[in-house]
Amino acid sequence: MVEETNVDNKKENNMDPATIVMLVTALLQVSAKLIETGQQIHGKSAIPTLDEILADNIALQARIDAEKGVMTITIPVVSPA
Amino acid sequence: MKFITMRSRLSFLTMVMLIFCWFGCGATQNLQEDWDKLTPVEQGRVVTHGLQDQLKVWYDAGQAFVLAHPQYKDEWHNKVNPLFDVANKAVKDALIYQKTPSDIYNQVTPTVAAVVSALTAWGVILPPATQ
Repeated sequence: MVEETNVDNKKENNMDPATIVMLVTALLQVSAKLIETGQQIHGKSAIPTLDEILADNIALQARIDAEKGVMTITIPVVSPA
Repeated sequence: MKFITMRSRLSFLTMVMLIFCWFGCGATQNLQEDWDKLTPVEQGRVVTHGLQDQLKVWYDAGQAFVLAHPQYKDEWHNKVNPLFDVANKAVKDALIYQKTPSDIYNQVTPTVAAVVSALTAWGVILPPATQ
């Protein structure tokens, strides 16, 4: 009876391996991000420009819209000469 | 004898903790000084860049989770994806209008927090306190 309970507990405590990999990957990405941000603040690496961040934003928006089934039209912005 | 061993272990741990605290205080002080040297617009760009990257990482994680667990597909379409939509547009507004960190925390963070709570409920990401 006790052994069965222990086996059940072990089963309950087992996490899905895919979820563990995902969590570890996310944790590593967060750590890398913290280091990157620290370097930007210390001036060891350049702070990204507005256009670079905006490009990332537009790329993510396109993915969100694709998931919603909405077509995204990107109008290229021409900077003044 | 056991007592002495335990005591020496404790003092060793205390020393390690003190060294960590000393280094930690120094590092955060330097970080604060360098942060104060940035202009409000630069500070805003650092914060929005961080949020933008974080949103992308969470979106990847959410999509991977739904692929592995198709039973959450409807919730992803109807609840979580729209939350990402709102959060990403809020980050875009902060970028376009070049908001300062305090504006970003007041206006963008609540929408990002909604995404975080939805993904935390699924177990896709850890609660902020443990990250």
